[in-house]
Amino acid sequence: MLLYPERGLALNGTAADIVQLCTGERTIAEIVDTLAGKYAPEPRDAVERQVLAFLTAMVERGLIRSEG
Amino acid sequence: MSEASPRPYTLVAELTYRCPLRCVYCSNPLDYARHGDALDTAAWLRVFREAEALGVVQLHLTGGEPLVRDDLEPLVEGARALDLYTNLITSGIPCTRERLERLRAAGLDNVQVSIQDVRAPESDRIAGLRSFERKLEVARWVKDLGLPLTINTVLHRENLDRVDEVIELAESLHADRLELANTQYLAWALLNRRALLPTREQLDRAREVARAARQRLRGRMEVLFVIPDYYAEFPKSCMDGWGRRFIVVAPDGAALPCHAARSLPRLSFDRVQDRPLDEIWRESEAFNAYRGEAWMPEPCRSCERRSADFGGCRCQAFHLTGDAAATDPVCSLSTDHHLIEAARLEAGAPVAATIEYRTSRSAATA
Repeated sequence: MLLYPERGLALNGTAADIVQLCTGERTIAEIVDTLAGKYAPEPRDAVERQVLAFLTAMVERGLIRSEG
Repeated sequence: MSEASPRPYTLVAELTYRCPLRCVYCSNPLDYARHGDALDTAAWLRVFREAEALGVVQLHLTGGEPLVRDDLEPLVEGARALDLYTNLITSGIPCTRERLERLRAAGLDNVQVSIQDVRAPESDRIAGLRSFERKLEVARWVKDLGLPLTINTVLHRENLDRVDEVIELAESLHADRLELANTQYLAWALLNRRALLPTREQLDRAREVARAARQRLRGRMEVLFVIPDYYAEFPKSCMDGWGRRFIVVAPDGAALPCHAARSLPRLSFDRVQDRPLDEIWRESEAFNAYRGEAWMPEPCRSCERRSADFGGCRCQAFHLTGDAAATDPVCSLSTDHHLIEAARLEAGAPVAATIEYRTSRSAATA
């Protein structure tokens, strides 16, 4: 569960995997690479689409910020 | 005992009712001075553990003013060890940068600072204490230390027309979240309703300003606008339903389904010193009194909204109708809705109402 003031967001397994990789040090490409490895034989571009869609939604909610 | 008790998500720890501010809309009970601080550090830490075991993930450290307790650091540390998301809800008085640094080191997750208005004289008048400049300083320390900052401004007749300036102020402080929370008319705010209740026009304008700001600031600052129940068509789901998601523990150790619950008649509240929290949550008379739907009268009982708003606010029902089990009069379907309409009408006329500050003296006579 992702907790923020007064609320929480229950994450499914994939979402939780993505959030755990958002440490502030990895690039999105690195996150996609790691997950593509984990979810093989799922194609990398399918994984990338999911990661981008999820991260965009989280950035819009102000729950994840991109650095640089 | 109910078949399957719901899982609480949030523990509201009212560490003390003491507070240097005297806000005219304080949500602490009118007789707050009768309830001293009965729980020491070890007792609170036990309450946190018992709450976590029940499923709680969110912890609000509040009061009164939680910073007047000198054991906040060990409490935050204990909460962190339990993996609770810990939010300090403070007026910012009394606070030092060093103390905030210690609290961050202890694992505090978020700081919510109240600011009563955008200018010192107005803010200080509502708070009953010169505090505005200091609050801004505290908010800046929070961000300097890298902690997420929530600014909370309680809205009412006197400041609602300045919502745009409140948003500007929160932006200039780089707040991550801004709560524009209209006064709800319970406790001290109910005493001061004539002076505080805005007109519908004021509310509509402010809501539009907040809506535009929410769009503009998306991803940078979350902007919440909570309307006063008095201008809603249907009641809010007060506390997300009685005994459903929240546990409030008061300074004297009483476990409450909501922070105003002790103003309700004929309910007795178990204290965490006397009974384990999970037993209080599942089995106590108070937590079961308005839990679920069995207690509901008409029109709630057969209303399709009953699982969305849970009949509204019990305290509001009691204070306005004298019956704690009545449908919240805020609801346009309530037979007591004329009480709300009368208050709205009153708000439309110019008022020269005096305001009553939170004091222990008037609490004795209230």
